[in-house]
Amino acid sequence: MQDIEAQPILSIERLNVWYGKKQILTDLTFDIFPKQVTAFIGPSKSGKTAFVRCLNRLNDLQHDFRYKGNIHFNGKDINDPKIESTEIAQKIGMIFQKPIPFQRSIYENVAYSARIRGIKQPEKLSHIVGRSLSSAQLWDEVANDLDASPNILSIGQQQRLCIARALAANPNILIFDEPCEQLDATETPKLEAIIQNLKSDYTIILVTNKRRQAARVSDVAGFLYSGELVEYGQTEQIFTNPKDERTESYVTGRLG
Amino acid sequence: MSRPIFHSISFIILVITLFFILDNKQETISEEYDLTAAEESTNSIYSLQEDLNRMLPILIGSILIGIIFAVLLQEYVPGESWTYRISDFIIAILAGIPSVFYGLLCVYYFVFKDGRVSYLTKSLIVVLLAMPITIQSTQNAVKSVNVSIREAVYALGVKKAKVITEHVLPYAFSGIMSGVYTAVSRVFVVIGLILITFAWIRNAAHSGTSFSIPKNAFIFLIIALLCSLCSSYIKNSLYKKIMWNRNNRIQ
Repeated sequence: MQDIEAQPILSIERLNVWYGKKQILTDLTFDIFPKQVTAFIGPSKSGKTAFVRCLNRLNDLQHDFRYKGNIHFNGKDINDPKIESTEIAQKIGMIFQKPIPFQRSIYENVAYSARIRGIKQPEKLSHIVGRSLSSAQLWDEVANDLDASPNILSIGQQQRLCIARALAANPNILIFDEPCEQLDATETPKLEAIIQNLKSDYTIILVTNKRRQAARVSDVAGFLYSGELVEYGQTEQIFTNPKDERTESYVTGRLG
Repeated sequence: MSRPIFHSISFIILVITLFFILDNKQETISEEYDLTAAEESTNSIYSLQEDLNRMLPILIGSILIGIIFAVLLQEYVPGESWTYRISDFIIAILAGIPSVFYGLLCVYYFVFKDGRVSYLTKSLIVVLLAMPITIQSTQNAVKSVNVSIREAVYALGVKKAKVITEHVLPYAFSGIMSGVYTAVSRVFVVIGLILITFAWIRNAAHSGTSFSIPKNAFIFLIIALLCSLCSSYIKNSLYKKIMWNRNNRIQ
């Protein structure tokens, strides 16, 4: 449950997004509070990924991306021209649907993020790598293979390596964009456990197509449909007592 | 603009230029002056070889500049801007012209008009021969790098220049090298042909002596063949990689 006194870490005000001429998001207005798991659910093409890509300015890479509205991160406008997109990306990390380990050793994959922050000392780097791999629950499995290529890892382990890499960048917020899409049934619970553990230190935003996963993992949930935020509130309320008919249709499996 | 239009334009340019060169060539061959001038200025085929060797720094320079230009164009110039469109159009035309056209230009300027053509003109032909194909291959190699790799790096807060040098270029390396091999192959084929043509002209000038292909022409042609094989091999591997990326693309 969110603390009523807590200040939102992210405030979204009347956010509208277009790719080319097509409007993807319409008038999104809500707050995200720290140290919580906020899940965004909805059928495919509902604008979930487009929304989270606005948060760390990955949409800047799209040449036809346009937006209107404001996103405030700790009170600062993230689209302020004075703020570099790299600065925002360091504070708001992202885990993608498909794990993308870099073509370097497991150790170097994680150390890379720390080096971006300017950390060069080998002892500090080793400490950060160890801590990040432990937080991603991968340390026990790779402790003896740190110099090996990530290609020896399973898809699930590669995804956890990507989480460790994101953690080594020391973000405030971690976005998980459908992180279990490529994972098998044994890896999904591990990843959900990691999300639950990370909640105490980070603000987690989870985008998922899996309704049950959102119900299991999140504290707050938002239902996006055709680019519109239909309903946003406590996960329990969204899944047990939805106010909107469309939300009810979705959570009961009749829609999407 | 579609590829058939590029090919049509390059074909028209080729035909017009060939007409002028062949027209000029007939006059030049018939002139005894040119043959003797060539003989006087180049006592042996190795003098011509030296002339061609002087083109080597130009070749290396044009390849390096081509790679840098292509990376900058692809990464920093928006695809819909006029700068990009015009550059892309010109490069497509220049790269689409067959190397035999440049070969004829080289034979004309290095052999028939030798001694009367500036170093700059000769350099320009080498640049035209090597640079467009390098730019085009580098552009394609950079384009072929999976967008998810870039996004994974950007999501860590890495600056664009670092993304390019540490991630895009290593992934695009094989594609860039394929273009470099093609460019070198094109230039070396032309050099081999120049040497053979020169030997043939000397033979024509001293009728009665037996005509033999110079050894160094053979070397250039063999290197060109090897470069061509390397280029084809890399292109094949790259194609497989692109297909793999396409099949595993994030939806």
